[in-house]
Amino acid sequence: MSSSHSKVQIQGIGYDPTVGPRSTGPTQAPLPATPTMRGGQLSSPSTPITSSTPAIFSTRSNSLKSSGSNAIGGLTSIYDRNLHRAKHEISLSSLSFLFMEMISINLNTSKSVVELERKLNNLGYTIGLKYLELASLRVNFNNNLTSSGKSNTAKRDIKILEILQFVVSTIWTSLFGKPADNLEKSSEFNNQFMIIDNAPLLTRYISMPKEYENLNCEAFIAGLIEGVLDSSYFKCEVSAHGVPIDNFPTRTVFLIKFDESVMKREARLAGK
Amino acid sequence: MPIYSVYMISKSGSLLYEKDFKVEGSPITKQNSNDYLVIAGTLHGVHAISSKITPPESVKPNNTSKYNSNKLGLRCISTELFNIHVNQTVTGLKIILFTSPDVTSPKAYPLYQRVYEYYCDYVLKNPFYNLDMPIRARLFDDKVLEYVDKLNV
Repeated sequence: MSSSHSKVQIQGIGYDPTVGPRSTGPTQAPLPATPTMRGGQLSSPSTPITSSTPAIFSTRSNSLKSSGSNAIGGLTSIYDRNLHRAKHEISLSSLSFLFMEMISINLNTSKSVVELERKLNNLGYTIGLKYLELASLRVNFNNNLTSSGKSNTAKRDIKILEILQFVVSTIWTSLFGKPADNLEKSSEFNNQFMIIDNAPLLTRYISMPKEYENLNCEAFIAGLIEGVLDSSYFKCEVSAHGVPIDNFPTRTVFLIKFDESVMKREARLAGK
Repeated sequence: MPIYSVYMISKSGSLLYEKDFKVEGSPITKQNSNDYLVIAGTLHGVHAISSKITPPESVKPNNTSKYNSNKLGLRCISTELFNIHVNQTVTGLKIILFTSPDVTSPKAYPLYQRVYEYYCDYVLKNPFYNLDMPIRARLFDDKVLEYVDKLNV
């Protein structure tokens, strides 16, 4: 397979914002012979699965009616799967290798440790902005399964301690399958809080060499927390610091510094 | 069944990792860094020669494992005081264990598997490690030491 050919292929896979959710979903039409068609196609005609079975993919509208009916050949789009699955688990190995490559790529393109940390932080930030929505949807759904049929609208936390509790319990559990180990308030500064994780998942296999001692790869998660807090109107800066203790060599402290405006709002809310 | 030392040799014969553990009554004396390279190179060479001279029909088909690709080469050197076990992964990495003489090949195999597992987790998933370079990963050291200490007690 030539490299130019595979480039054309890639365009057919993945999310195409000009087409919308359909672009990664199953397709309706039989596939044309040329691989030049963009979007809308599950994969290129050159792959054996699609070329031999052109008509078996049900349409998008079908898939909305019955889930599972279009799992032909093991191909289901993520849009056909329920948002509220009981388990949301992925392979830790795959995640570790992916995260390793994210660091490697950014390491090669960064001039300094500070720049690398900022880049990882930015990557996490964009995820955090969106992740808040999904996490709060899921937690409300699960809570309301047990209670009487309340609506699935999320409760929005407006106080600092409440939102931090939400991050420590809900966000942490949905990301890592366990709550964070500790939440502390800085004794020196009123606007600083610390979330402590004794054994962070992403850096479980990463040992820092001497020349990168100041770097903590959990900057990615720090960015994610910052994204979550920012999109819930708690402007802040989050940084990750490695603070190893006995038995926990990768223990990490996430330092959260809230903005002045948040502290003013908090004081106003408390005064009420 | 104590483990005295763990060596790792890359597929090209360079020494990636060497660790002598503090075990009471260990017959392995500490070498200087040059001697480690010589030992690694020698073992690599002997292994290569032995795999060339082994007749392929002598290899039992059921004597092969998913994780150990050392089918033709040198497997074990036995002496009065210690055994040297040579195991090879599918990528040609050799993991060499110096153990006490009571550790036979079948007994050494789980030990090798564990060290291999730690290598895969704590070395290969480390973004700061370059393939075929000497291994310097604190977490890997910790894990291997923790495991060996448990056995050596």
